[in-house]
Amino acid sequence: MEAKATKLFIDCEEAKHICDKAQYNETSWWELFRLNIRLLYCNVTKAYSKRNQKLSTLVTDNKVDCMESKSKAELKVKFQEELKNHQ
Amino acid sequence: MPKHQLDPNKWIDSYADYLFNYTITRVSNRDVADDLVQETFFSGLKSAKNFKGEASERTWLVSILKRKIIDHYRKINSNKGKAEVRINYSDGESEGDWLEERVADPFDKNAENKLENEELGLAIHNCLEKLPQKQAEIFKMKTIQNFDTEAICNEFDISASNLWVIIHRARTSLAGCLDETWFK
Repeated sequence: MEAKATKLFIDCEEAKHICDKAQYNETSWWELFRLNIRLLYCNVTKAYSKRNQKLSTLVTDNKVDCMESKSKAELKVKFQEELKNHQ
Repeated sequence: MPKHQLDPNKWIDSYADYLFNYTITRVSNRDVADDLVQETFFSGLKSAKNFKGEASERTWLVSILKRKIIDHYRKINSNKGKAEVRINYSDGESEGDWLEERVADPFDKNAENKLENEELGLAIHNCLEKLPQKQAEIFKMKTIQNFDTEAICNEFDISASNLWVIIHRARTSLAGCLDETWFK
């Protein structure tokens, strides 16, 4: 694992993993650096990165929203009680 | 034999987020949207016997929600009184300009953009519904609700590397689904 983290050239799977983390700004500069090096010569990583970026933009720019976890949990409890009355 | 059947036990997990997204684009208030979604599920339970099974569960719930949204606006409008539009011109010279002001601005694409955003939002939720439930929940928490990795790992009792595998699978499936349904 240590050797994997220090090597400059990464494989496609690791590049995809870093690319995923980059969508959430959770990469270190070293990971980003290694990803950028791979992007210079790997078309598969390039295509994956482009598609991934597009998905992030779609989700964030279009303000896709969902119910907060706490509200949903409360709703679930209330609904289960109501459901019992109807059964 | 009806084409579709109701399964209220799965309603919250399957449709709460979709209905919430549908509502929030129309009422722009999270508390109101929460209430309307809750009322929709409760009304759905009450009128479950009227479900004929011709439409899908979700379509049927959306039709109830639409009525709830209309009722919501009726209620707030009746509280405020009828809306009144007045235009006051400060000087006599600009009084004849009203006609030009009412001509639609061809460069104003806000309404169209808003509509497209809303449709895309629903398309994304459609694709999320096709993912395994745990995958969809984790993706939503991470990407839409911006939870920390650690918080999600604690909630689902998984390791960070496990979370990234799930996120990777969710993103790949979602991108594929949107290619099929939205970009085609």
